[in-house]
Amino acid sequence: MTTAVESNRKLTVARAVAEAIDIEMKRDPKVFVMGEDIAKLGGVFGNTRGLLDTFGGDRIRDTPISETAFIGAGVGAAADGMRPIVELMFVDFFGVCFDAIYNLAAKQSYFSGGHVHCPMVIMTYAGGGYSDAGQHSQCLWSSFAHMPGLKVIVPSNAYDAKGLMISAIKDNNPVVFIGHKGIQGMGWLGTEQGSVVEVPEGSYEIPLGVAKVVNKGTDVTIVAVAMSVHHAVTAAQELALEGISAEVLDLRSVVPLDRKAIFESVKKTGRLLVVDEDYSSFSLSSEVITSVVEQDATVLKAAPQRLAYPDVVIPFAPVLEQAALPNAKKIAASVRKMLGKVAAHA
Amino acid sequence: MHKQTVPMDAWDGDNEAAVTQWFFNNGAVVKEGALIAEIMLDKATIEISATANGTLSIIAPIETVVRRGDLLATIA
Repeated sequence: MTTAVESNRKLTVARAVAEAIDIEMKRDPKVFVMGEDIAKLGGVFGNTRGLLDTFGGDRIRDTPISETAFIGAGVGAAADGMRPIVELMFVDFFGVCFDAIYNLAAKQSYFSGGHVHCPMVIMTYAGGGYSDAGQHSQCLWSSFAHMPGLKVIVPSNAYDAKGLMISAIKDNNPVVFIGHKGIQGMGWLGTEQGSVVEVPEGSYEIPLGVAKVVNKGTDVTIVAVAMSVHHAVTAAQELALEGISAEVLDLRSVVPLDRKAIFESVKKTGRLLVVDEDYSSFSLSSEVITSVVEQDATVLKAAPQRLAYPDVVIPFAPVLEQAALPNAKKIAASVRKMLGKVAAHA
Repeated sequence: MHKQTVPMDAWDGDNEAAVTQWFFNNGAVVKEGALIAEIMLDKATIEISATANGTLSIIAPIETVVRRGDLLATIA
């Protein structure tokens, strides 16, 4: 199938991504997948479920737990004309293979004068909220975004995930595709149900770097990605009952960053709150605020605010982790404060 | 009206499982063979496919504890 057909079936993000990879592997024999537990298990977060049966072990390859080797192999395969999708289970563990990513993958095209591309998708998973402690709960999309040459995609729902993954595979640049664990759709982990949406059959693309207004509003712009989008929508619904109209902008892509969409929304509302589960300082939240202020600070009726992960190691203790994470209540409270309003009695 | 139940051969014994996902909204029209739900037994996922054509009425929403043979939905 080459065109999308509407369907009333809903998919989880994991099933939507697996479907995207399936479509692209059937279309292009150069696409293959490798990573830890991606073949027989179908990926610990489900993005490659069913692909081994369809494509066999040559194109769906389990690797040893040797991230430096298999990320390097992916960069090499991409330079040699293949289109690898390489999964590294947790974003927390990229430290050992960053040389291949930011010195090779990100710079290949520039160094070769455009003769050697790096059409590689790096898949990984981020986010906490389930007490997996400081080395299994980070987001770190801002760390990838900081380095020129990488695209960084963070979907919030199954429809976007499928269209963005198809675009990512077709892109000739390295794309880091980050799934948030809380919206993957794994039964053992719990799933934000707002991420499980109707997904067309067949192929469709969502361009990388285009944000989406998921809730229209006029009083404040809430910018978010991944799980935070769902928290923001919940907060917007709560605020609507108090007569506060919040616009929620789902970036979908950290790089390219849709600065135009951010600015247009803030120009309309005059207020900006960035919600992010990644660390606060030197980050996505910093960049979003800067992109408005440096263009025209006079559109702002209030100082821009952010609700991001504090600059601390993520605690294991559930009560401490939850206290640090953004949620709908904190978002609503931040918006009220920006508007100088007090909470309606619950 | 067709009764969509947890298949008796889904697993051995009287263990409890949990409904973890529905892939159609309540009231959606489904086709026989379509993946409609997932249930989880000890972190293993069991897929439930529709055993009839018709309109889905969900009886056991997400997080409902089920055993083999329990009613998940009706399809009419």
